[in-house]
Amino acid sequence: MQQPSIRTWLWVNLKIGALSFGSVSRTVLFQDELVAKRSWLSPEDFQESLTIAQVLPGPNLVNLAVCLGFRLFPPAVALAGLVPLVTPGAILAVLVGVWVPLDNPGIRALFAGFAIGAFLLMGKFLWMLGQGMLSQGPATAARPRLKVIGRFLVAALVAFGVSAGVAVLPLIFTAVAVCLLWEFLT
Amino acid sequence: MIYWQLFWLFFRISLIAFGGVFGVLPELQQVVVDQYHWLSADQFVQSYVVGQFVPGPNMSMAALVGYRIAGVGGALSSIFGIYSGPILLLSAATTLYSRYRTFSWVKRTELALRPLVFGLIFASTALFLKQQIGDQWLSGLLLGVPLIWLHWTGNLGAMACIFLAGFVWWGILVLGLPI
Repeated sequence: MQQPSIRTWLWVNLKIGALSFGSVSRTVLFQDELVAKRSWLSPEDFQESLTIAQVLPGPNLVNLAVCLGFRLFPPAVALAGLVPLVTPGAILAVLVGVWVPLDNPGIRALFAGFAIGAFLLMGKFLWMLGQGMLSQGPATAARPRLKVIGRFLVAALVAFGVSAGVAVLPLIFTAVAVCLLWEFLT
Repeated sequence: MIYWQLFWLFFRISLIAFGGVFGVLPELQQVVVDQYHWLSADQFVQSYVVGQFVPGPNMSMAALVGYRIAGVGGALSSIFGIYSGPILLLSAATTLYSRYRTFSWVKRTELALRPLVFGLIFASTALFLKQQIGDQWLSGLLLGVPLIWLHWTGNLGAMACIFLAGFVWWGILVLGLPI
């Protein structure tokens, strides 16, 4: 583990805030910067923060930045990191919304390409999350294989439900209940 | 007062935004377009698209919606509205988690919820790809193989991978490069 520095924390947030084109990949960039490149956190620590950030409501990237920031730094530094994270996107949204013709074929192609790059990164990221679901945790289950199969089944159902347009709120609450029951009853 | 209304609207929305921005779009549209007629339906959809295009948190659309309704002050109050609730909530949750994470039931709860996280991220990835690339996904994957190889072997950072994919795809579609 390396010693986290405040200046680098702010820089990483600015970099992600200003350059994280490709929508879904934004979470991966934190993993790339803090776990893969700098070893500030172990993959397990990162996964814990990601779970909290995803399960609670709010913009995923900000949620994750708060969790990671609080884990690495005192609260004031953690929160200071949010300024460079959210400001560029907010300013760009206004500028792009007012001036950029989004239906221009060149711009569309560029962003479709960003999406491809993001998708590729997500493949690797999902692989890592899949590994995280194999973990047995502190209390080793009597039937570990059954437990893991159940987790993947729930994950598949959530993915299918969201893709098929099922109302997200009831879906999430149901999934939370099923996940907890499965963990503590098996 | 309009600033307060915007702050409150986005504050409320942020606290029911489970699993990303998709879930709260109908609610937001209902208030902004149908109830107050602040924006037309087209302007609303365009704001969402812009929010997806720009870097940073995917709720940056709040800034554009706020700006269109009430200028710079509107953008600021919307941004404060959308981020302040989750920041408070997550600060409290992370502090509590750090304090009690050595308890086995806390760790087991976190483990138990991982499938939900996987499912949500998988679905948003699939939806995003479909929305952006549609039926050109096969060519996209062909472009992707060398890129992902470069990334996995450690020769290309995550952000560079996204930018390279963007410019190569732009080259193929717009300049007609025979790649």
